[in-house]
Amino acid sequence: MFATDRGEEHYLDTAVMIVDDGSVRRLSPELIAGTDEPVLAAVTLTRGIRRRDAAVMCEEIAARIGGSAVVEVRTEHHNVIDFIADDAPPIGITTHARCGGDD
Amino acid sequence: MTKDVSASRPARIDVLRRLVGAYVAIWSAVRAPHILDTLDFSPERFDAVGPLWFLNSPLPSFVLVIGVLATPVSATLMTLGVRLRVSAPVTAIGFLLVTTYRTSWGNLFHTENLVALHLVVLAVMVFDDRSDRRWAVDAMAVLTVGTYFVAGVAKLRISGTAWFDGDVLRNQIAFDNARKAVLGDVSSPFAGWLLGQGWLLAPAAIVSIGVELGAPLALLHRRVAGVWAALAMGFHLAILVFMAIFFPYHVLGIGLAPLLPVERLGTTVSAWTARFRPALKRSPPTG
Repeated sequence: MFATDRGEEHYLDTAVMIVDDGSVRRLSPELIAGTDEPVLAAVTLTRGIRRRDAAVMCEEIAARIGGSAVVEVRTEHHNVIDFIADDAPPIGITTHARCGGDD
Repeated sequence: MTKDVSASRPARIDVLRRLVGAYVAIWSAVRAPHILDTLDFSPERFDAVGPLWFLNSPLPSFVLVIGVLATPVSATLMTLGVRLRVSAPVTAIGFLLVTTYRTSWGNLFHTENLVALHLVVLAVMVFDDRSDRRWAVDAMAVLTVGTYFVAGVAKLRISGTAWFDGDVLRNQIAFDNARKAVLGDVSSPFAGWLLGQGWLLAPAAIVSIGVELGAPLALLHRRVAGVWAALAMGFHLAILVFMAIFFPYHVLGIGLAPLLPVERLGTTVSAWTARFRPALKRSPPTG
């Protein structure tokens, strides 16, 4: 394992909660995909986005959180070195679905 | 393999059976809820791999539940030495079933491969009536070093000499931690520091591939085996510290145990017990 050169830039699929002040709160793999395995959660998101099921996944995640949480299913473009070493923000964000809140 | 490294004492295989059996009993009980979580997954996510390659759809629920329940029970019996000709094969088949099934939902886990291989050897070994079952210890030792060696060869085949400059390792550490971070999972608090120490990454990459490619040397002599096992343990601890990836079978030393004189564990424990027992008897009652 760990044999491939993955490079520095990656598009990482995730789902986040948007709180009242507009900031982002990370969700756990359990809330995102009903599993405690992060890789499994990532695969579930990626497959769902490819199948254009982001809206459905978004509603499922919002239901797991409960209340009136605003959820975004998104792809974040990161330089992973800068992200981990310096907590750099994403280079770009593509939002596939947004749900919850006042829906 | 030299006689010095292999099962110099038949007792080693019994200790290995108990260690592996206990590990599988605890692992399969602790991981049972997660494996049963797959009952709620959408069938579209199922992508069978390995020994379950022939499945086009998820297993019937009752088959999975039986496998998840039977594995820790049979592993416990195997640890205790009860009906080994039944409990050892059932444990091997059950563990292979649940771990393959778990990894058939889009996430290939590497952490249980060596456990499954060791269980297969132990399941075959229980049908050997000869008192000297050195071959089983030898087979487990070869499998242990083989998994490391294959990983080292894969690095050279896929990344070539680029692995040695440390960039591949740096990108792996960063990617793995970043993926966990965006998914709200636990990532390493030390990874950022390591990525800032560029000078350290090339030596770390060389040492890690050296441990993997040098694994077969552990079969030559028990002292070499001890040194290599310590290096391999350090390798896994570094992965735990900087990538937050836990290989319990290896970090606990069970995966490396076929190379080590684990048959002395019982003697050591008995010696310590004997040493402290008189002192305990002499202690005045309290209260």
